[in-house]
Amino acid sequence: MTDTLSRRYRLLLRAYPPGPRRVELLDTLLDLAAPGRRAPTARETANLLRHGLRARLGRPRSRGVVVFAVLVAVTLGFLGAAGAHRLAWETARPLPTGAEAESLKAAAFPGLAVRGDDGAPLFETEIGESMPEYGSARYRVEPTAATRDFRAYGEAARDRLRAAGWRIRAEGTPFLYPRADPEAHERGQRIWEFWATRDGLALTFTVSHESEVDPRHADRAELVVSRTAPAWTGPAGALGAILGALAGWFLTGWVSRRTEGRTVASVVVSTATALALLQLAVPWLLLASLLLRLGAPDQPELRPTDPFWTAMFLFGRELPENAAKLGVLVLAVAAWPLRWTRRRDPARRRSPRLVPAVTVAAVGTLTVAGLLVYGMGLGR
Amino acid sequence: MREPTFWILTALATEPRHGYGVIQEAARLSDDQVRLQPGTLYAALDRLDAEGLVEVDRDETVDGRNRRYYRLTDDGARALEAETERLRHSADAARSQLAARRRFGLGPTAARQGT
Repeated sequence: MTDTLSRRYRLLLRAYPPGPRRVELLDTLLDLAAPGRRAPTARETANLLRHGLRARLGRPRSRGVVVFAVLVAVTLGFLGAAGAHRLAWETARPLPTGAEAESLKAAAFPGLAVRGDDGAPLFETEIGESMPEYGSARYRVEPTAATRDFRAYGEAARDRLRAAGWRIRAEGTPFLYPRADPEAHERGQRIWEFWATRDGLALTFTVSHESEVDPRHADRAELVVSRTAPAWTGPAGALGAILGALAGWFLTGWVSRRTEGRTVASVVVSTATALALLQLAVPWLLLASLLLRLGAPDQPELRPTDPFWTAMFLFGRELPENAAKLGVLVLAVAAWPLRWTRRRDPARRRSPRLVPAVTVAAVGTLTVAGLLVYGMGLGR
Repeated sequence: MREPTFWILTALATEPRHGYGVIQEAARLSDDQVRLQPGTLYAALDRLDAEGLVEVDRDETVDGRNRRYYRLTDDGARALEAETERLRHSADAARSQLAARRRFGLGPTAARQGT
C-alpha cells in the first residue's frame, strides 16, 4: 500500500533534477501522508510539478532564469511544431502521374494539347525566394476560340471535374484574387476561376481573356494541382510543440545548473542565448500569425495557404543558422568539464545572481531544434 | 517576505529541524492555519540557503533514511526580526485605525448601539 504511494511519489519527483533532493522530498512526503493513502493529492501533484520544474533550472534566487526558460521553451516548441508538421507532410500522397494525370488533363482541357510536367516535390523554393511553398504541377493550353468565352469554358470544365468526383470549393470572377490587378481589369481582362479538392489533392483552374490585347499573348488557361495537408499534420504539430517546449525547458535547466557558480560561463551562455532568441524572434511572429489564422472563421473559398513555418525563412537562412551556431556554443560551454570548478562549491551561496546561464541553455536547445528542422529538409 | 518563508524562519528559530519537522512546527505555531507543501518548503529552503538566511546543520540517519537538518543563520534571525517588526507596525496601524472608527461611532459597533 505504502509501496504504491511511494512509487507514485517517485514518479512525480522525476520533475526534480536528479540528486539527493528527490529522496529528501520522498521521505518528507511519506512522513506527512496519512496511513492508507494510496495516491498523491491533486494539490501535492500540482505543487511538486511546479516546484520540480523550477528546481530543474537551478539558481533558486534568480527570476531571469525562469524568463529564459519560458522563452526557450516557446521557441523550441515552435521549432518542434514546425519539424513535426513538416515530417507529417511526408505522408501526403504523390501528385497524379500517368493515367491519373491524363484523365485529369482530359477533363480540364478536352481535345487540347496540354503542356506542363507531372509531379513536383512536396515543397519547393522558387529561385530568388527564401520561403518554401507547396510543390505543385502546372498544366496549360494554348488559348483557342473556345477559351475566349472564358466563363462558359470555365463552367464546362467545372462540370466535368465535378462529374469526375471533384468537390468544387469556390468559383467565380475575381473570387480567388478579389483585388487582382485593377489595371488588367481596366484593359478588359476577365478571369474565371474555381478550385476543388479530391482525395488529398487540390486543384485551381483559371481561364482568362483580355479583350483589348492580342489574345494569343494575353489569354491564359491553366490548371494547378497540389496536395492538401494530410490529417496528421495538425496533431503532429501539436505533439511536436509539446515535446519541443519540454526539451527547451529541460535543456535550459541543464545548462543553467552546469554553469551555476561559473561567472564567465554564465555570462557567455546567457549572452549567446539572448542573441539566439533574438535571431529566432521571427518564428514567434510566425507563431502569432498562425494563432491569428486559427482564430479566423472557416473560409472555404480560401485555398490552402503555405504552412506556418515557412515564415522562418522570410529573411533567408542565415538567422536560423546563426541561432543554431550560438546554441552549439552554449551547449559546449555547459558541457565543459566541471572538475576544477567543483572545488568552489562551499562558496556556491555567493554565486552570482547572473541569469545568463539559463540563456545559454536556451540557445543550445534552439540550436538543436534548428538543426533538426534543417535536417528534416524544412527548407527544401 | 512571503508567508511560507516567514513560517519556515520562525520554525527554525529555536533549533535545527529537518523538512518534516519544519512543516509540523509551522502548523503547531500557527494553530494548524499553515500547512506547508513539501514542494514549497524545499523551494524556499533552497532560496533561503542561497541568500544565506538558512544553512544545512547536519545529516542524520534514522531507520536507514537520511535526514538533513537546517538551521537559521544570524542573517536569517535578523531578517526574521525585521519582518516581525514590519508586521507589528502594520498590525498597530490597522488597530489604531479601527479604534478611531469606533470612536467616531462608525462601523458594526455603532450600528448595534443604534438598534
